[in-house]
Amino acid sequence: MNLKPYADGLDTTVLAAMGKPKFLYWVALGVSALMFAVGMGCWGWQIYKGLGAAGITHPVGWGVFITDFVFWVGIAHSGTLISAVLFLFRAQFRSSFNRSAEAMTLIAVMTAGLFPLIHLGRTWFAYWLFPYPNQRLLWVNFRSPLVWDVFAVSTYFTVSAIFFYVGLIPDLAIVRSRTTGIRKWIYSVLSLGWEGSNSQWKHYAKLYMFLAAFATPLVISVHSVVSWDFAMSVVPGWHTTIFAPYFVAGAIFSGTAMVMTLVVPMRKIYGLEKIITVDHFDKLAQVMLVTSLIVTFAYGVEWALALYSGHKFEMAHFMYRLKGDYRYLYWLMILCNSILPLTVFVRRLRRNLVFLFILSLFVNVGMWLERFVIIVSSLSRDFDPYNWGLYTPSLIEVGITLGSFGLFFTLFLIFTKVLPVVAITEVKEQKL
Amino acid sequence: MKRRDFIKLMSVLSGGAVASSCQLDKAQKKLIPYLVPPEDGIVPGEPTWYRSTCTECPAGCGLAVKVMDGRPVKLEGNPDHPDNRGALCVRGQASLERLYSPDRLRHPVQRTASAQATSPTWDAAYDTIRGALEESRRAGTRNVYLGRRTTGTLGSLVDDFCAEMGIERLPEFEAEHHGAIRKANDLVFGRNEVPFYDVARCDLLVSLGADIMGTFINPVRFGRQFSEVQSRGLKWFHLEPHLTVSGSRATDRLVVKAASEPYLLAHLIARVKGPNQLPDKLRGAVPAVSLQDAAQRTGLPESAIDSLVHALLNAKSPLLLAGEIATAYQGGLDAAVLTAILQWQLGAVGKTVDFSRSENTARLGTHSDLERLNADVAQGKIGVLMAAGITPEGADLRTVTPGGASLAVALTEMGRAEDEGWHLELPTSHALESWGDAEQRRGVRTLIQPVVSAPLHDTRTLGDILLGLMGSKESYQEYLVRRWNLPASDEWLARGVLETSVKPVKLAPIVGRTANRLRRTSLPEPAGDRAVTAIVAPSHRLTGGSRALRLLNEIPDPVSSVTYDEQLSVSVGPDMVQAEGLEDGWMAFGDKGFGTRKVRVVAGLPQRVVVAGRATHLPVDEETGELVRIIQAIEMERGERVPSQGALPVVSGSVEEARLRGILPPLPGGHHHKGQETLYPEHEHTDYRWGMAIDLDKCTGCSACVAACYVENNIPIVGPDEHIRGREMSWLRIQPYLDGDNGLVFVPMMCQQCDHAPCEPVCPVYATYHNPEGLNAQIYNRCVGTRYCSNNCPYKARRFNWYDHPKPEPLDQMVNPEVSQRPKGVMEKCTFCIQRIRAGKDTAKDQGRKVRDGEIVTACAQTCPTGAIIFGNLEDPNSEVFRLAHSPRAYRVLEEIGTRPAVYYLKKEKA
Repeated sequence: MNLKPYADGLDTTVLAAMGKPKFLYWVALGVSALMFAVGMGCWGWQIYKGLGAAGITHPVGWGVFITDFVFWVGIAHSGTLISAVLFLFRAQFRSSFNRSAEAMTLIAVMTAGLFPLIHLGRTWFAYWLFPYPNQRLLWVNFRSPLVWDVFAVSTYFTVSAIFFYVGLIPDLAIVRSRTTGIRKWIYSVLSLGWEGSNSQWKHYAKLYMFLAAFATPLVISVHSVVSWDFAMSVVPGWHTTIFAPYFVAGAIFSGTAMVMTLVVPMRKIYGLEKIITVDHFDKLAQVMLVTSLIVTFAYGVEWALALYSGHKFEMAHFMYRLKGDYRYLYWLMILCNSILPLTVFVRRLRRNLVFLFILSLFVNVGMWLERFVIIVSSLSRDFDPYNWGLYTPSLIEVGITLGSFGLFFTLFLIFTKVLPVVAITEVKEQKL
Repeated sequence: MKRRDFIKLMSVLSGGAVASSCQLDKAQKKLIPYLVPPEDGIVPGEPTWYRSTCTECPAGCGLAVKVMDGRPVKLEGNPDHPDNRGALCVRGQASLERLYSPDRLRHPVQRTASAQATSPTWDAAYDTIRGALEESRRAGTRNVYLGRRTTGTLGSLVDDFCAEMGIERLPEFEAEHHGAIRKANDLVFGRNEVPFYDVARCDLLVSLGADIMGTFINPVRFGRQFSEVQSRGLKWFHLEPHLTVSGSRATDRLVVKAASEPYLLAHLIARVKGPNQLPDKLRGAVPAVSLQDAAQRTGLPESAIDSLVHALLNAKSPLLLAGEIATAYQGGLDAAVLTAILQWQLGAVGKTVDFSRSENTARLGTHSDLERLNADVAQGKIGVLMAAGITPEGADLRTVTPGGASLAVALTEMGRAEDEGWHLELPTSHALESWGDAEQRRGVRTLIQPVVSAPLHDTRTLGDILLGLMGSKESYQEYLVRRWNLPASDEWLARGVLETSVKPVKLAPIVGRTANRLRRTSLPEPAGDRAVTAIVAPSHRLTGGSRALRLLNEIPDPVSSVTYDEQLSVSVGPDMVQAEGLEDGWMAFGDKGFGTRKVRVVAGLPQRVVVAGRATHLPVDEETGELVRIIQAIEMERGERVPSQGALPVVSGSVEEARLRGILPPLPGGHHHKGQETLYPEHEHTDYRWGMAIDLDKCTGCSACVAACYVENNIPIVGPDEHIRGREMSWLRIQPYLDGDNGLVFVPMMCQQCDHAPCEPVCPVYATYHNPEGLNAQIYNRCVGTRYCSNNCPYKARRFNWYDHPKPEPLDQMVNPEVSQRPKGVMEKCTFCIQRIRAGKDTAKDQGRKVRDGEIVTACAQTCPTGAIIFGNLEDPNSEVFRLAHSPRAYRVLEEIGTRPAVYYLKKEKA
């Protein structure tokens, strides 16, 4: 690989973002951290009082917490997609986003990973979900999709973290050369003695390619497994084979939207307009549009399956989604996920970053609602009318959800200050 | 210290400890219940059983009290008692809570207008009463004693007490006193009594208004007797203006207009001429009501009346009875008198209407007596007023108002509100802490014996208090033994019930005065079609009044499925929703004792009828002394709707929907997919596969099983706020489905212990698994609380502990030590009373054999008055449950999902 000396101030531009934080940054960090603290406080209260502090009840045993879990796992998706899959497909527009997308992935998985703990009745025994030899002769039930979840999510996190770190090494070396003192020491350690030599690049490229290939199936597997939490059950509205592809498409859809939500302001604040261009957003919007269409198609398939099955519970359930207690949420979901994204067909709109930013917020909301509708409306009406019941989230659940966003933004803000937000070496490579 | 010194010291210390712990105080020595010690001695952890009497309602069913480690933990029916034969009703099951209730009065309390309440010693309290009696005698005012229905030895002690102390014994008061029935029988037969209605001997049952499966006289006995004759094809007409469990169970439910029963009865008397011929004078006095007239007044189709007449003419041994709201209106006496005449005419008197075994109501008064007393008190005519066990209860919480008495003494179990105005409150012991006896109906005498080693609080039994006031040195226990003078008293204590022979009574109508009464009467005018009728219906859940039990509040009403709020709620039928624009929530009502009420829409209620559990002040019918429970032409205005918090619990919908969904079996021709195909190997059960059969033809929806389950399994009570969120913890529930005009079909629902249980594979930590005997065992210790199992349960039979449920002291002592108490964050569900299975298997193992059929009985099956629930081993082809599971009526709920439940339901024959 042919290397050119550092040129056209790319380093400076990107690394400027890592400079001394401005007032606005501190405000943003403060607000995020506060939200996180509120969420932790709510969780503490819930542990102290019992899970009754949340609004979940009988028959709706899962509510906002599992919605949040699926939502954050979904967000975590596009990181690997943009990095690994687009890398394998040589889609070069990815290089301006992939760093933030990958960081987003890691942070979102961390956030998501909290929710299975939060929703447990006895959080303090969460370690029983891991299979490890112990004197109490406890073992996990490998038939349970919840155990599959443990593996799927932890595998995904591990691989994504390695992939992220490997991609960072050349950039860390750049940062090392620009810093002094203790920071220089830290970055030296982290960059593992990277020199940019030919042999290093050779190995690096091979490893990176391998990791990309390794991570790609995980994009499919993680969210398939998450979807099986529902699909493996007997609950009408959950028990369907479409769930795995449907959830994967939905995850990518929500992930791309979240990348936009993060990168549009980041680009503006850190002055990365030259590196992350409107063309890049155009491409990203197209990915979002395609996944939106897949998701919309899945909505249709769900309906068709329910009606074609002749299964009275399925049919009754889907009519309930359409017309029942949660109908407003359902229709709002359709608006956000199926109708609004169609605007992206218009070239002028998909090159309008303000529009894309607002649209991405709608998609985030829509995808959160999708999970909520699937989880809550299915549980609130199953087989026996005597057992039907409604669910309203409590303030505790709202607080913990806010807290999860607080955690997410806190970690992301810290990321923008400690690591290069754009993959410098890759962008350089393309500029050659 | 030297070794020898150490040993010396230790022996002194330990000897002293042993010696000092031997000392028992006097009360404890007295109360030790082990008069007949268990044969094997008292083993910690082994239950001992004592026979006693249920005092929760005047029916007086026999009790078998399970005592573990000196504490009663569960009430079951006395299997030797001829009325309940081992069963108990929901109230009886729940009544154990009263012993441990935190609301009990724990020591004597004296209140004066000026000072704060003080707690005098018993002797001081006695002196106060004696002093006040003296003073009152000087002042020339009356001293009175008012008690609840008291029978047996205590009844004569009260007589002795009143005679010696110069106190007037007033007619006793019970909220449900059946004044109309007694008055009518007095008029017609000269017997002021409630006879023994022998459902077991009838082949046709016609009940008017009386909710015999819910509240009337002794629902347990009626349920048990019904079950005996039901399989022989009992025809049962139930006539009611609203909707009850009895109407739902009857083979023919006829909806009549409120207060129209006299027309129908008069018509029936004219049509049914035999077998006893009415004297002409009496026949002439019965108002003439034509078929058209009867049909128009009652709102029944003529064909229905015809078929009723036809059934009465063809029955060999009919039983017709009227009570409760069929007689609780101005002119209700007419209905009761006509019923008595018709009973005699049908030849039922002496057979199915048996006066030889009447309820002991000789001293029982009515609401009129209570009103008179209250008037006297208000006018200052009463000096010392002693009231034993009188609390605000019944349809309008009517009670004694002690305001004007010089000393008002409440002898009470429960603490009383300050504003009730009692000067002195003396705590009486609970029946489970007392010696006593009862003879609630003639021919059956039951024992009351203490089952706690010492009273929980500083209380005394009513007998002891009366003896103490008389200055007697004798304790009530000694008094009892002296009075009993029974031969073979060991058997009396062991059986707890003594049946004595009764002389048959032959009765004929007293023609003259009955005819005169009937001539004077003009039958009441039923309300017009457009008017709204309010019915204040009795409910087993509301009879307790201010003595209401938490558990009874927690268990949903089987008809409306409302829990805590029922005391305030008003039920309306769906037609009113349309007409008045009502919906679930708070709604203002017009006058007549209603005010703003929570409206509960109950499908299946007849048109233009509003049902309330309580009213604020109901008029008293002068003739019968009964509360007027039917209020014609109530004014209803649609007030401001106050949003209710969350949704009220839903009624489960219609029978059609339940059929469609596979909860009830399809009609002939409809087909449910059986869901038998599977890729997985079958579970193998070698010796036992526990199963259950539930006969929907026998289930009356009485909910006794639910209460039994709560008490047996330490199920926590969550309270109104959590209940309305759907977080109640009941392992067993009664699901009602509306069956058009036939009322409701009740489906008891609990964990179905599926062979292919959806809950099992989804648990990540094996907290629920399939045990070798086919149970879905739930391991509380292992549960981390993902709630996935509950989500995946098609029956939603699992319950999650959203909180810890601390119980107020001393209710925390009401614990079955054989069942663990579950902490927060843990899932729980019906276990088929695994502790009972364990005990049964241990016994069988000790004797080197397999468990016999019927040896293990779950708490729900044990208490079911109609025997609708049968538990046993499905692997044993000779077992009852195996036979029922293979009956052509058997089906399983939601079978098409392929869960293969172990609970078989036997569908209603009629359906």
